Amino acid sequence: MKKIKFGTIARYTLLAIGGIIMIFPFIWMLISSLKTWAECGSMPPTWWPKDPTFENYVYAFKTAPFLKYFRNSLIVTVVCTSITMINTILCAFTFSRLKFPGRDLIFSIMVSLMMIPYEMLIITNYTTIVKLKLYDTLAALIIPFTSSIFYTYILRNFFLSIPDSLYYSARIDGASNWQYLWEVMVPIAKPSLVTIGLLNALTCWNSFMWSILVVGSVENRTLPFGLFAFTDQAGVRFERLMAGSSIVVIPVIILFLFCRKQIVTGVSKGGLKG
Amino acid sequence: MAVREKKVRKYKDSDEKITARSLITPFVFSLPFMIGLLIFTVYPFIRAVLLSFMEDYRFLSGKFSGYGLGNYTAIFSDPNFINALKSTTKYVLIVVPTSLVISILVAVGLNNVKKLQGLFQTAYFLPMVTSATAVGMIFRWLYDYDYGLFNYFIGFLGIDKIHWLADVKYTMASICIYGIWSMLPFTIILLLAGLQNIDPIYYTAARADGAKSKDIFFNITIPLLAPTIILTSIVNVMSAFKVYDSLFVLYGAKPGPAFNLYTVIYYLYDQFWNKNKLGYAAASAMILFVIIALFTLLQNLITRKTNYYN
Amino acid sequence: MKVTIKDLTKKFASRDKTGEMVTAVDTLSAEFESGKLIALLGPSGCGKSTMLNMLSGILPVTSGKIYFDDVDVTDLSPDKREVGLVFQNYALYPHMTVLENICFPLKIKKVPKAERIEKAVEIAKMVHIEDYLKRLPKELSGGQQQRVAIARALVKKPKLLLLDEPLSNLDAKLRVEMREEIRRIQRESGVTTVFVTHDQEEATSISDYILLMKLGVMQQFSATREIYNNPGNLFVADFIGNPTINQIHGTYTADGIKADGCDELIPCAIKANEGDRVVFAVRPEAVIFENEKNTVNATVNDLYSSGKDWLVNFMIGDTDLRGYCDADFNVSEGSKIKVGFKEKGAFLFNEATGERY
Repeated sequence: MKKIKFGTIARYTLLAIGGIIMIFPFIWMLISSLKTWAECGSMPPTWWPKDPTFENYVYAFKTAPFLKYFRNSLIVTVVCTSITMINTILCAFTFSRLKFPGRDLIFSIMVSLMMIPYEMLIITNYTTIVKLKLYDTLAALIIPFTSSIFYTYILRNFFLSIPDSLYYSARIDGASNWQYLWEVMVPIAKPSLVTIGLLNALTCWNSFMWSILVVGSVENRTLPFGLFAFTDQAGVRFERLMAGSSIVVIPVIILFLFCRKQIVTGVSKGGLKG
Repeated sequence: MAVREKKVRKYKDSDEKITARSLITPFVFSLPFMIGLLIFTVYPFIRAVLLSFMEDYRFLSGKFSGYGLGNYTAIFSDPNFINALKSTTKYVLIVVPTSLVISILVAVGLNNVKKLQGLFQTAYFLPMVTSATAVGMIFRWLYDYDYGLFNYFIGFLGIDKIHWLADVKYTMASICIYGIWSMLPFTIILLLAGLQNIDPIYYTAARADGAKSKDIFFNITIPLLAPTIILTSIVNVMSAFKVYDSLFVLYGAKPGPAFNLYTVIYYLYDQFWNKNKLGYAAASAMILFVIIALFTLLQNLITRKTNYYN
Repeated sequence: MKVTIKDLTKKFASRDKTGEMVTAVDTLSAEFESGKLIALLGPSGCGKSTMLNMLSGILPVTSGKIYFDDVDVTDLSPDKREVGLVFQNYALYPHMTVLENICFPLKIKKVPKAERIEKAVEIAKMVHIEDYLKRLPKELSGGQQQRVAIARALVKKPKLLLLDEPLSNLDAKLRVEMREEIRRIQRESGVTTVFVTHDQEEATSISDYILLMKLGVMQQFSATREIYNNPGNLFVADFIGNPTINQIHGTYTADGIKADGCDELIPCAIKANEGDRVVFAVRPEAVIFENEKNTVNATVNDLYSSGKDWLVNFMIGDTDLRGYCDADFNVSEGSKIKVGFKEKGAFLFNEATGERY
C-alpha cells in the first residue's frame, strides 16, 4: 500500500513540475508586464511585482493602436470563421448527402490537396490579392482562408455517420435538402461544428506571416503583427513588450479555459489525418 | 428447396436519374467553397509548379526564357539553401525525438491521474493555442543576456551567462528548446488519445499475470501505442520541417544572428519577398512539397496497415 | 386509400464487377384495399424493403406504376405522396424532444405553432406517449421511441402508413405488446398500412392481408387466414406456420405416396400424375396419433411439452416429422406408433416446381 502511495505522490509531483514549466512563460509574461522598468531590469529577479502597475498597458495602448489591432483581429476572426463555417457545412453536405457523378473522385482529389504546404501558395496568392485590389485590406486576411478542406473532411465524416433513414424521414416529412441540412444535420453536428469553429478562430487570431505580406498600413494590422511592430516602438523594454504580448494572449487563454475540452477533442480527432 | 436464404445482396442504386436538377444542387451548394479552393489553392499550386521550372523569370514583366531545371540547379548550388536543408534537418532530428520521449512520459502520467486532470491539461495544452508571435516575444525575454531567466537559472549551476540569441554556437540550442516546448502540447494530446483507446482489459490481464508497472509500460503500453507514436512522429516531422514563425520573431526577421539559421521556409520567403527570385522560391517550395508529400504517403501507408487497431 | 401496384419492377446494378443488373422486385402487381393492414413478408433479400421504399418514393422505380386511389404517383417525390414512414431504427431526430419530433412534419408544412402542438398532443395521446413530450429520444425505451416514430408518421394524416420492420429492434416481450399496439393504432386511425417483416408469426398475428415474396417475385397475396389454410406453393406452405410444415419427399402412385427411405405407402386424397416426384406437406396439427385407422408406421424420436399438448418428433422412414398429441397419449422415446393425416392441413406439391396439385 505504502509503495503505491509513494508512486502516486511522485507522479503528481512530477506532472505538477512539468505543468508549471509549460505555463511558466505565460505566468512570467503577466508578472513582468506588471513591473516597473527598474524592477524588470533587476537581478536577481523578483517573483512578484513589488508595486504592481498597469502603466505598461497604458503605454502600449497609447503608443501603438492596440485597440485598433484588437478590433481588426476580432473582425478578421469573426468574419473568417463565419464564412468558413458556412462554406464547410455546405461543402461537407454536398460531398456526403447529395449524389452526383464523380463525387467521391472529386473529394479524394480535394483530400490529396491537403498535403500542399501553405508556404508554396503564398507566392501566387500575394499577386492574386494585389490583382483583386485587396492589398492592405482586412478582406485580404479573410478571403484566402475560407475554403478549408481539412474542416470539410472532418465534418463530412461526421455527416456520413448520420443514418440515411433520418434523411428519408425528413424527406417524407416534406423537408427539402436545404431544410434537412439546417433543421436536422446542423443541429446534430453542433459539437463538431463548435470544435471546428474554435480551431478556425484560434488560427485566425494567431495568424501572423500572411498579414506581414498583405497588410501595409498601421490601420489594418491585426494583433500579432501589431505586437511584432511594437518591438520597434517599445525598444528593449521587456515590461512593455510583455504587456503587449499579454494583450494578444489573454483573450485566447480565457477562451481556452472555457472551451478546453472541445479544442482538445478537435485536435486529437483531426491531428493525425491532417 | 432452399428456404429463408440468409443471402444479403449489396446494391448500388444505378438507375437514379441524373437530371439537371440533381446536378444543380451540389453545384450551387459547393460553389463558394470551390471558388475559394480554385483561386487560392489549386491555381497557386499549379503556378508554383510551373514557376519552379521557368528559367530567368522576371518578376515585373512576367517574362521567362524557357522551361528547365535551372532554378533547381541554382538553389542546390546556393550554400544558403544547402545550409537551410541542413539546419532544418538538424532541427527536426533534435526536436521531434526529444519532444516525443517527454510527451510519452507526460501522456502516460496524465492518463493515470484521476484528480486534477483539468488543471494539468490546461497547463500542458495551453501553449498550443497561443500566438507564436507573443510566445516568441516571451522567449526573447527569457533568453535575454542580462535579465533573462535562463541565464539566471544557469547561474545557479555555476555556468557563465550565455548570449542565447546572439552567439552562433547557441542559436540552434535556443531554437530547439523553444521548438520542443511548443511541440509538446500537440504531441501529448495525440498520445493521450491513443492511450485512451487502449482497452484497459490488457492492463488488468497483465496485472493478473503479475506484471509490474515497468513491465506493463514496455510490454503493453508502448507496443499498443506504437501506431500512434509513429503517426504522431510523422506529423511532427512535417510540422518541424516548416519551422519559421518562431525564428522570425526570435531573431527579429533575420535568419539567426549571423544569417546562420536558414530554414527551408526562411529561404523560400527570402527569395520571394526580399530578393524577388520567384523561380528560386518556387523551386524550394517544390522541394518542401516533395518532402511533405513523401511523409504524407508514408503516413497513409502506416494508417492503412494499422487500421485494425482503430 | 386504395393502393394499386401494376407490374412494378426494380433493378439494381450489382456491386460485383460483372455489372449485371439484379432484379430486386419483378413485375409485381397487387391491390391493397383501403383501411387494411397489409404485411409484406419474405426472407431477407426478397425485395420487400425495396417495395416499401418504392411506395414511399425514396427509391425510383425501374418500370411499372403505383396508384394511390386512382392517381398515378409513380414519379412523385416522397414529400408529395402524403405517406408516413416508420423506419426500423425509428429515425427520430436526436436533437429534438418528443414533441418537436412529432411537430416536425407540420413545422415544415408551416402549420401555425399552436395548431401544430394541438395536433401533436392529440396524436401523442393516441399512441400513449403524452407523458414524455419533453424528453429527448435517447431518454426513451425502444417501445416508446417506436410510438413516437408512429406518431410523427401519423401527425400529418397520411393516406398511407408504411412501417419498415417495426418490431425487429425490440425485445421479445415488447414485440408482442407493440404489435398489438400497432394493430390498435391502425384500427383507430383507419389508415391503410403496409408493414415489412421477415417474421411470419408477426405477419399472421396482426395483418389483414399478407403479400409473400421471394427473390423479388410475389408468391402469394391473400387474406392472412387464407395464406395459411390454402398456400399456393411449397415455398408459401413452408414459410408460413410455426412449427414449420412437415415435408415428405416421394413418388406419387394411385394408391398413395411412396415416401423416400420407407417401404410403406402414405394415403393421400389429392390427385397427381402417376410417377410424379412430389412433396407431401402436412401441418403439425394435421397429424393424427390416436386412431385405429392409422396405417403408417413411425418411430418416436423425442417429445417436448408445449403446455397442454406434447410436440412429438417422429420419423417415417428417414424423414423427420412433427405433430401434436394430447398430454395423456402414452408414448416415450423409441416407441413404435402408427400415424395418420387429416385432409385439412395436408397439401401436395410438385417436387421440382413447388407448384401445388
